[in-house]
Amino acid sequence: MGRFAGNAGQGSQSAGQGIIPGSRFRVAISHIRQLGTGNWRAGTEKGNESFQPYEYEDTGRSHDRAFERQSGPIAGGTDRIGRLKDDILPNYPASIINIKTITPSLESIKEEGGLLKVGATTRLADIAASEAIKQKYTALAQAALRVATPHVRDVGTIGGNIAQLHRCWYFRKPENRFNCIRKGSTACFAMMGIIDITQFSVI
Amino acid sequence: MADLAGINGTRKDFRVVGKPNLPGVLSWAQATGVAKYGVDYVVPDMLEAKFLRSPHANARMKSVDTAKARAIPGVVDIVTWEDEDLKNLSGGMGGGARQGFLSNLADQEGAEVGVIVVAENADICEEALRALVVEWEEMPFVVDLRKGREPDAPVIRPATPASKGGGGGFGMGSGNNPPKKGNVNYSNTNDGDIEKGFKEADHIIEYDVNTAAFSGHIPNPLGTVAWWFDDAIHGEGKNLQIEGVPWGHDQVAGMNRVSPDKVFQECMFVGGRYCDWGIRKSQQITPMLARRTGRPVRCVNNRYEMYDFNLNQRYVHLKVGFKSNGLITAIDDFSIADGGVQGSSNFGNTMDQTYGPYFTTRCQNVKQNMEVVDSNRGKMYVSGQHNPMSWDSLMVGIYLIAEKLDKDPIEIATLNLHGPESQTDPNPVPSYEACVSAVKKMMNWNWHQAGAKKLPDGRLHGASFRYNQCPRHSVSGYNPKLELRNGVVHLASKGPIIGHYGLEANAMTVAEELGLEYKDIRIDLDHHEIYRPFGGGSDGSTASSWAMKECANILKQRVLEAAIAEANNPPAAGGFGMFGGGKPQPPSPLKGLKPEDLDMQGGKVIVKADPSKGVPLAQAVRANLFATYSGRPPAAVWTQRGKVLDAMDVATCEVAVDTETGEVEILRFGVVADPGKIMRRTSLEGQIHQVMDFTKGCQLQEEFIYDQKTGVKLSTNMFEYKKVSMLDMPRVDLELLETRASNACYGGSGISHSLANTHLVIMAIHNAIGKWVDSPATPDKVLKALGKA
Repeated sequence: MGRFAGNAGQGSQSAGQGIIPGSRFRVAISHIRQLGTGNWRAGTEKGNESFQPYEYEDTGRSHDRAFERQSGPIAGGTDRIGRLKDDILPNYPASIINIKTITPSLESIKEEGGLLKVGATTRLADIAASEAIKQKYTALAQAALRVATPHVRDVGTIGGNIAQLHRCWYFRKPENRFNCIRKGSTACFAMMGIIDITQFSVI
Repeated sequence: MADLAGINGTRKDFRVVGKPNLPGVLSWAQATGVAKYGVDYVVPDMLEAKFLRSPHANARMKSVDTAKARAIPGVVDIVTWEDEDLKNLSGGMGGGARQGFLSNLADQEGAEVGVIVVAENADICEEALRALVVEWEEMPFVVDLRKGREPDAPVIRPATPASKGGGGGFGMGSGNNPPKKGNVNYSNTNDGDIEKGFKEADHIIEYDVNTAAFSGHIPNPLGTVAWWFDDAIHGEGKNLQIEGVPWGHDQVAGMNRVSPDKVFQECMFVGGRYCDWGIRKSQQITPMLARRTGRPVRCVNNRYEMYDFNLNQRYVHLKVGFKSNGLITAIDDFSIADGGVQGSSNFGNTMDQTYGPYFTTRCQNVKQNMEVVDSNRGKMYVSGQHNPMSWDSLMVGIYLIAEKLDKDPIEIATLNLHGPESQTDPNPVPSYEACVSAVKKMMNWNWHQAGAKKLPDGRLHGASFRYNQCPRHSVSGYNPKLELRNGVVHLASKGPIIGHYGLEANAMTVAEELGLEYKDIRIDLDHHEIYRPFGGGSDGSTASSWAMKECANILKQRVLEAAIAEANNPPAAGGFGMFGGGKPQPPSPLKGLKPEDLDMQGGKVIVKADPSKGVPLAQAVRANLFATYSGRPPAAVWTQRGKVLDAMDVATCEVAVDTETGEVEILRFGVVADPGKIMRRTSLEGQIHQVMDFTKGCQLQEEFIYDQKTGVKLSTNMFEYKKVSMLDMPRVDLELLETRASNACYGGSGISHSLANTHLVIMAIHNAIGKWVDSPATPDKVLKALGKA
């Protein structure tokens, strides 16, 4: 077998590798799954590393160590994973920090002192389903319900939703097909007005 | 008309056929995940293969340097278009092989081109593909059909003999078409006297309708794993095992110059597909790569590589003349349709002219001029969504006539629909009448003019209506084979299981005819068998079941004859070899009777005159019996371009439009379908839910977006291309009728394409707000139509 045993949907030997086909991401996510403590281990053939902080303090330390290596956080992963899978960027973080396992958890919905506090890792589906939010902050619940598809809402977090990178057709095209201004180039393809929006009408 | 001869028409009581929720072995396997698909096969020492995909819409690879890619650890093989092994592959199927199996030409972004990499895993394949140094020659492209048809547009594909005059082959108009000009093929048909028809008209309306392209989204990624093996029992030479090629083993065998008898397959499940009968290159290439490397090779398309069209883009301009009462007198249809990339199906463009909606009306003055434009937009494989999608160009016209005359569109549709026998038949179509009656009751139908009804919550209410024929092809013949072995009836088929319920409908039919339970019928899958229940989805199911019914009755006759013979002359009972013998059996109650005195009921051979006298099938007949049949049901009226009508269906839609936010909510779809006879109710319901999923998707959510500067498809991913998921499905109220009006099994027909549509929701939105909205009708477009954005 090859360097990385297993493939998508095959009940592979490594838990992480059994989920997502792809290139660099597969390496990264497999290490996230394998690491059990705040320790990190470096080194794959492609240079990706991952960090699994369990406490705030660990997060800080992990992040400090990782920062110089251009780290990035991951929670629901609906944005991060897509970017990694599709190679939409010219450069990639050398390490990824899982913030879903932070204790105390950032996944919470609370009303305190007349304010609604929603933790960054709270899932969009939970926000959409929250009776408190539906009754008093209806627009937020409806907005959460309109994000993407049910499957994405089930894992995507509100923090990730706010912090996600640009949802632009050009920016997101795989293999960095359009190296745009958001990636350090000079052109904005979306601003150039060259998209075909099909026009039609009746009568 | 309805085939009511013999058992088809005389069977009144159904024990098995039509029952819901029968635990079909095959559908159970698919629903529970037990079924294995091609991509599920993993074998020791397996390699992965990937094609280079073009980043350009129309381009030629001038050269490729593979040195860096070959140097990557884990890369096992790299094949280029210049390799003799590739050149020696003979064609393949699924279209698009005019330049050989793989060339250095790419005619759409994402097309397989020039190079195949084989490596220890998919990661390394992708790494190697990135390491290729390719020199591209980018060529002009067409992704906007309206620009592509212009005289000064760059010609992306030279004319072929088939495209010069008289049409481009299968389905191309009525002949005498102009020769191809630039990127445009022509297909013209002319029936009646269009000028006379317009002179008879009191009103003439003109309107444009766009049927936007949308994707099929086959749920199981298409791909194969193949390996070669020695086994003396199959004779000299290598044998090929290939998993994941759903059909076309003969083609795979031919491509690789091996006898079909030496090709083997275990995998029979292919997964759902909506009349996408195409075989992808990933399903054909693995045998050649496995032969080169001496190891099993897998090649699987990923999601980005699966955005093939379920429907091609088309722009339609219609001019319709009609009397003051709404009776249509003339229809002039000018269409600009997508010809797609090389190898694209002409279903979805010219084939629509053969199965169009216009001839279901009393109007006999119909002119259709179609320009089919070569493009680099993408590919539609084989069948796609023809017929129903052109249908809505007429349905929009009926809606517009109703609006203009302040009448109910159902009234206009009913006025214009001709009778069952011909366009001059004044009689109503019973199936249509039954469907309309039921849907009016279901929807509490109370038509209103556009913009005239506000819901209690302030949103505007809209409704729409369309009708269609229940389709059934007449092109497929069937060769079923049934066997009685050790008291069990076996139904042999080469499969595969493509997501429709053909084989299960077949098994239910056999059980019905032989007085057995559905679970008693054993389906034996072996791709070396002959029989397959194809010829369409539900229409193929009902048509193949017609042939299976004939076969079952042949087997039944042999069973009854054998039962009499064995009753009169009992075989040695039980035992084993020379020690056999067992106890003497009591005289059979069948003894002395004739076959016509017997029947099969409740798993027994019984005496008609006294059903209490019976012998269990396994005891009544110990002989090994076979029955075969070759044939097809009577020709379907569907092939007569709508000029004859039998089984029909209708669909309605209710929407609520929020004029502040532009949001459209589908309150419900109301569907009444008469498939003639329901074969497997649960599956039929599921099929109709699927087409209503399409209906919502293509009109509210799904969209192909192209970059005009590069021709790159921008929205072909699971995030931007918003497919309707199960949880996003609107309410579908469904009623199924059984008029036995059609001519497949028990008077059945299919549903297949006929309820899929492009404008049911769009019409309902217009009925709500009085404005036409581009499809997909996203909130921003609704607000723009309302002048609020």
